[in-house]
Amino acid sequence: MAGNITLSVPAIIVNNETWAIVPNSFTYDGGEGEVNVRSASGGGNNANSVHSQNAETMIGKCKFDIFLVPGVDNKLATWKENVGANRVQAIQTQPITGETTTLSWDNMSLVNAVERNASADGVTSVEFEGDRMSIQ
Amino acid sequence: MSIKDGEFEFKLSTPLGFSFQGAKEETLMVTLFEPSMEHIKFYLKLKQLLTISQMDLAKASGMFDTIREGGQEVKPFQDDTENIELGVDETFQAFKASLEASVSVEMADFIGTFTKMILIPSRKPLARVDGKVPMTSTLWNNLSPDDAYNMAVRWCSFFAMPSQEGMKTTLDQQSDSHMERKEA
Repeated sequence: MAGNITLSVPAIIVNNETWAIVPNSFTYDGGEGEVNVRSASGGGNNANSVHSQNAETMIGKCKFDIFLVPGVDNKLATWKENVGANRVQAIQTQPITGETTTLSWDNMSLVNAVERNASADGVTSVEFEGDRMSIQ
Repeated sequence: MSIKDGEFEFKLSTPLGFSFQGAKEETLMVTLFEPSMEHIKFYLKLKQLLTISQMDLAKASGMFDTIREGGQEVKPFQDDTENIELGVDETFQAFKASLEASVSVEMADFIGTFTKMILIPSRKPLARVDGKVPMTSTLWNNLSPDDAYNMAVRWCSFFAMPSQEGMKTTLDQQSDSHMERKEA
């Protein structure tokens, strides 16, 4: 029986274009957000936990590294211009069954100042933030 | 939206999902555009493949024998734009039949050439999904094979007619200069 395959080599699609990324560079946050837990004292030894969701942290994020190949600068400029209007998808296919898992982030902005490292082993990191992740 | 505008709409049989302005959308419509000089290498090859396939069909049907025996009437030049649009469905079916029956033309060669042409980075894309988003390899790979093939043949029946001057460019600037030369 085949084991489960982890999301280690997803295809990254930004605005309908598949991008070859630096292996193992893709990290993401679904935007589930933080939950704050505090304690409310009931007197004596009694204490109840009080939970609250922190909506401030409900932001979808994903970042990955790409190589500085021709065309990257134009593409970065386009992504930067599309404030809140990029869409990023990560698709992992199970090799044997062919089933796919698609993670999507809508209405994303390219948030980081993109520093290009033009060297033999240089990579360029891009970070998108926007709506929370959806899974298909 | 017609051959005179240099564009037409193609309807897909299967919905195509795409991203637009940061959100997911689905459509059944792809707008196809006429080629420019950026596409000439592929455009001419498609034209050649279609001509070869039609020659094959003509040979097989014995059409050449008829022409050799009786000849054919030479028709005067006329603006055939409307006829081309009316006859697009017939041309589409004829192209499909000739491509599928051809012994000289590989269909893989035909669709491969069309795929390369439609996907080359261009200032003037040949296809826009839902009239908005340029066709990319990711979107192209999400099409059903029949839609991709039909789109290719339909595009050719509008813009790559082997023996017709059906393109917009022949109707404006070029035709004007041709007239001037005739008058002089």
